[in-house]
Amino acid sequence: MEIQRRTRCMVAGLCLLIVLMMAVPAQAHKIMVFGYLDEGQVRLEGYFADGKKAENSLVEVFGPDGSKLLEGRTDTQGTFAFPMPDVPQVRIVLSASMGHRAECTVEGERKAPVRPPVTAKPAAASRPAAGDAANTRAREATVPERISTVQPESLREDAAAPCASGLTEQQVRTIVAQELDRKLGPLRREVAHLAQPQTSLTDILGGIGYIAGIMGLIMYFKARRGGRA
Amino acid sequence: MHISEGICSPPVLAAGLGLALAGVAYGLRKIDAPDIPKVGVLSSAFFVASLIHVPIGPTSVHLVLNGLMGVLLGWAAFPAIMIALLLQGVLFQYGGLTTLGINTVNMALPAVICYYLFRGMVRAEGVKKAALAGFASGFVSISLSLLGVATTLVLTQKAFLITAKVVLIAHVPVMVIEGLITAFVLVFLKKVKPEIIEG
Repeated sequence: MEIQRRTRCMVAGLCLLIVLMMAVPAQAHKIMVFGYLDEGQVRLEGYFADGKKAENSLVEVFGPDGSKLLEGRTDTQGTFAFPMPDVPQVRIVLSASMGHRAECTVEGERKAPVRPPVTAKPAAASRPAAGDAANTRAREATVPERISTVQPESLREDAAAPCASGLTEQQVRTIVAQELDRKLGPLRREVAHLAQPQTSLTDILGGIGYIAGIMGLIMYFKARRGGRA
Repeated sequence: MHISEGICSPPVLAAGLGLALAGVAYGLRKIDAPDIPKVGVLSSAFFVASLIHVPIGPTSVHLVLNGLMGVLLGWAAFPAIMIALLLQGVLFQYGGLTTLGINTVNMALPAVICYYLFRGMVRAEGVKKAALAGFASGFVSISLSLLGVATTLVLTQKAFLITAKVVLIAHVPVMVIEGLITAFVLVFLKKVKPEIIEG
């Protein structure tokens, strides 16, 4: 009788092992969504954990006070985009069929605080004046964390005048900001994507360990109550 | 198949939890000590089965295995499924913790129903009957689970019966695959160790 029990367990364990080996490359099946800011637009992507895109799924956007700002549907690539509303943060809810639902939040651009105007200095002393102005700014303002489209105070008083290349300082700043936004867009997307929780073999083994432990507890209590041995 | 957090209304969640706990209590009483390894192994199989994907058209679905659990465990499927769902929720953030009750009922109740429907056929002599019963059990349990999910969503007014019917038809491939897998496993067990199926 004892040998039969043991072989019974071993056979069942073998079936489980086969199932486990098939499962390890995959991830838990659920819908996920991540959103990021890209040149003033909020872009979001919805997908299932095995990589399939969440097509034609309902998107609802809520403001920080809970009011619904807008809604729409994802396209065939599972993406959806809308201009960032004038709120510090939006909450995005993605719903697919059969009770699947996922949420994410996207923070708005943090604009640099308004700087006090730099006092006028003689045009001849441009470089030392730039140094003083920079120090003043450093003490009073904080570095913006995102490239903002708000133009900061210029370092030169004659900033409106074109330089040798024919571009004013303002124009150069705008160009650099736009280029950086363009380059950072995909990077932000990657970061948002990586921030999603991933399942691992550790989780699977941990779960099976927990099940074994709980079964052991059940067995212990049954034995104490004198169940059929 | 797993309903996520934040969809169902509190009364539905509470009713589901109540039913699930009743089922789990009854299931625990029905377990005998020698059956516990079987319960543990099948609970682990269910836990891992959700990681196996079956791509179906625009969405993808996963294996459930509640037909197999029903036929082999009977009422013990309730605690086995609830424990596995709890761990899936905690470790994989899959499904939800408030929805533990309704998800358990939607998956374990069809398992128990299939137990009563097919246990005679599975325990009968011969491999063919076991295979047929296995296929039927897998097929029927998934359909009942989908019906359960659709009903739960309808009760929260999140879905309509028309959508439910469409979803059911879309999941027919899953029902077939589950039926085949359950049939294969039962045939294998019947040939190698029929004692697992008895009792």
